[in-house]
Amino acid sequence: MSDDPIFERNARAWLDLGPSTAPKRVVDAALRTIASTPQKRDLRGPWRFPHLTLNTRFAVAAAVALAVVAAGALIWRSPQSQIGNPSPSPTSSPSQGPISLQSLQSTWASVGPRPDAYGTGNVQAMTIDEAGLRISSYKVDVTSAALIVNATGKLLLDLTLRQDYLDGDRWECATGDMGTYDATLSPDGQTLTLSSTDDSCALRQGILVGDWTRWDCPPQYDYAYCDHASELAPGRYVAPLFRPFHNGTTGQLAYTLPAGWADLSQPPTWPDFGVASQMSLTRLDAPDTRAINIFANLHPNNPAALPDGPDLACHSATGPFAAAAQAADFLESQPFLSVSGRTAVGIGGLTGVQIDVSVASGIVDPCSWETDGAGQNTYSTNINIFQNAINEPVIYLDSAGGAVAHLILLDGPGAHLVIEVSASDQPSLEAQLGYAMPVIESFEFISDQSPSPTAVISPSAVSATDLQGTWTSVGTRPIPDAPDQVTVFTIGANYLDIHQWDGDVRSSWTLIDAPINRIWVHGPLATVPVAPRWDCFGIGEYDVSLSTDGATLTWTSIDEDCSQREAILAGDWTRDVAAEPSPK
Amino acid sequence: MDPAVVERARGGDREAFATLVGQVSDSLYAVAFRILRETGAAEDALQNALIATWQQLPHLRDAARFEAWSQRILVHACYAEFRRRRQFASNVHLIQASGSTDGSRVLADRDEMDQAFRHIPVDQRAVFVLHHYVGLPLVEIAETLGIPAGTARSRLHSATHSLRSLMAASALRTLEEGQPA
Repeated sequence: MSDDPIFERNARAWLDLGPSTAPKRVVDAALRTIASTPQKRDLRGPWRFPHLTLNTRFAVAAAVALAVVAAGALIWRSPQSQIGNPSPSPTSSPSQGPISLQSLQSTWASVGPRPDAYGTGNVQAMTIDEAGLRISSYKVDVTSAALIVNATGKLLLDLTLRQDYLDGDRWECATGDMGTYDATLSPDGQTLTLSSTDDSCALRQGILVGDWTRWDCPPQYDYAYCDHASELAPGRYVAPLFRPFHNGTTGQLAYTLPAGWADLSQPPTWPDFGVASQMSLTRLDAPDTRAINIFANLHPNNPAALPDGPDLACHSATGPFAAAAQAADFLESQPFLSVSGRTAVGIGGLTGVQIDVSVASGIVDPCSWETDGAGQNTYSTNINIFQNAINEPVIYLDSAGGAVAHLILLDGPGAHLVIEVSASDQPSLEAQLGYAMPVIESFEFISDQSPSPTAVISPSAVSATDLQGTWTSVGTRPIPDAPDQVTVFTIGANYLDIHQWDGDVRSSWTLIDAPINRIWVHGPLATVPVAPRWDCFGIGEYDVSLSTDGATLTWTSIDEDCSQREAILAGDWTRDVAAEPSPK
Repeated sequence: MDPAVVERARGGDREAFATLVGQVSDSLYAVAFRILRETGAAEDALQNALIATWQQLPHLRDAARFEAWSQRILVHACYAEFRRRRQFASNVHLIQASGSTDGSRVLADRDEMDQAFRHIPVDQRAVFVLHHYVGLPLVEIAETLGIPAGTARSRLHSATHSLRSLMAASALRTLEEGQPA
C-alpha cells in the first residue's frame, strides 16, 4: 500500500510493541456476564433497527412486504390466535416417494399453537439443517441429531442438548432420548407433517407432531432465523405474545384486521422480553409506511438535541412517564420538538392523550456522530424520543426528512403504553392514519388478574414504582479505594444513580419476573467522568425487599460482576421523602 | 477454530463458547489495544465484544468464519469505546520524547508514531492495524469489517498519509527546537 518500505517496517515494528495476551480478569468477567446473558434470537432488528432513518426503515419494510406479496406461495394465514372460525390449515397431502434429510432442511414455522415447557404455547419455529433439528425453545435451542433411516424412511432423532440446559429450560427429558417420526412433505414442499408413536422425550414429541410451514429466510437475512410479514385473514385476533401490562408480563391485546394486514410479531420470532413488550401491525399493500407499533413500558428521552454547529456537547436525560399526560408534558417542554394536536383519548379501555410530534429541521443528536477522514464529525439527525426499560432507543424522528409521528400515550396497569404511527411527512401520515386508526380503534386491552405463566408475581412483590425515589444509606458505605462515602442513591424509572463526591455512577436496572423481587442492575453506563476505581462493567443480580411502610429498602446481592457497586448497594437504605425522585 | 465447537456455542453451549474465547481473546485484545492505544479502553472493548459475540452468535451462519466475524464485532466495540471515552474526557497520555542517548532515535520514532496514531480517526486505525499488525489483505479487511474494498483501501491510504505527515511535522518541530535529529 505504501511506497515507503521503511515506514511500513517501522510501523509494523511499532505495532508489534504492546500486549499480546488478554488479561485473565477481563476474560473471566466477560464469561461471568455471559453466564447470565441469553443469546439474542429475536430477529426483529430489520423492523426496529434503531439507527435506520425513517425513510430507510420504510424502504426495508416495503421491500420485505413486496417480497412476501410477490412470493404468493409463502403467504401463510395463521390460524393460531384468531378469535372465531380459524382459517384452514395449509394443505398437507403427503408427497410420494422417499424423503431425504436434505429435502427437510429449512426453518419451519409452527402451524397452530405448540405448548412449550412453560405451557405458554410459544414454540413457533424449528430448524432442520446439516447439524440436525433445533427447536427454538424459550431459553435455548433444543438440539437433536437427525437421521433418515434408509430401510424405513423414518426420521430418527437423538436429543443432544446437554442435560443442564434441558433442565434449565424445564425440559423433563434426558440427553440421548431417542424418537422416531414419520415425516411427509406436501407436494409443493411447503408443509411438513410429522407424526410419531415413539419418543422418549414426550415434550419433544408434543411439539414436533403436526404441521409445519416452510419458512426460508429471504436472501438478505444472514440469520439463523428470520422474520416474515404474514398476511392474516380478516378477523379479530389476540396477539399471541404481546403482553401490554406490568413490564411486558401480563395482559393481552385484541384487535380486528381487515384484509391485507399482517402482525410482524407472528412466527418465527423469539418470545423474549422484546416481543412481549412490543408488537407491530402492518398493512402490506399500503403505498407508504403502514406500521402501527405498540410498546409497553417506554419512557420519553431527552437527547438534548441541538442545532448543528461547533462544540456540541452530549448530555442526555430520561423523562418521566408516571402518567400519559406527564409524558406528553415532557415532550411538549422540549425545545427541539414540535408537539401539536394534543387531545384526550380512550383506546381499548385505557385512557391517555394523543399528540403529533415532529422535530425541527437542522436538529442533531450530539451524542451520536461519525467522524470522516478529515476528522470532521457528522452528527446524527435521528432524534430518539423514547427509550425502553433498558435504555435502548426505540422511537426516532429524523430531523432531516421532516418525519412526523402520531403518538397515543396510554395509562395501563403497571404500564406506560405508546402506540406509534410514523411517516416521512405530514401528508403520508394522514394517509396512513386513514388505514391505521380503524385498526387502533378496534384495540381491546385485556387485563388478566392472573399473571402470565412465566411471570409469577405475588401480591407482596415490589413494583418498579415502589423502588423509585431517593434512598439514604443506613450506616456507613465507604467508596472502595477512595477516602469518602456514599450516602445517597437515586432510583429513576430505569436508571440507578450512586451519588459520589466526584460524580454519579449510573447503571440501568430492571425487575425480572421470577423469582419475585429480583432485580438486575447493568453497567455502570458512565454518564459522568468515572474514576478509575469504577473499573468494572456487567450485570448485578440482587433481591430487593421493602418494609411494609415502604420506608426501608434492603438489597441482597445474589451475583454481581461489579464488586464496587455491590459494596455500596448491599444492605439497608431508608427513603428520603424530602428529596426529589429524579435529580437529573 | 473447530466449526463444531462454534456450532455448539451457537446453539447456546456456554462451555463451548468459553473454549472459543480462550482461542480468540488474546488476538482480539491485541488488536483492541493497538487500535485504542489505551489499556482500560482495550479491556472494555474486549469485554463488550465477547459479550456481543455471545449474544449475536445465533446469527452467524458460517461457523468457519467465526474468527473474522468476532474481529468485526471487536472493531465495532473499539469504535464504540473510542466514542464513549472521547465523550467524557480526553485521556491521552502523551509520552515525552527521549533525550539524545544511544537508541533515542528509535524511541523518538515510536513516540512520534504513537502520538501521530492517536490523531487519526478510529476507523482508519482499525484498517491500519488489521493490515499491518494482523496481516490481512485489503479484500479480507473489507470482508471482515463489512465495508467496500475501496473504502478499506482509502482508509488505509488516509491513515498512512496522515501518519507520515504527522510524523514529518513532529520531526520538523524537533529540528526547530534544536533536538537531535
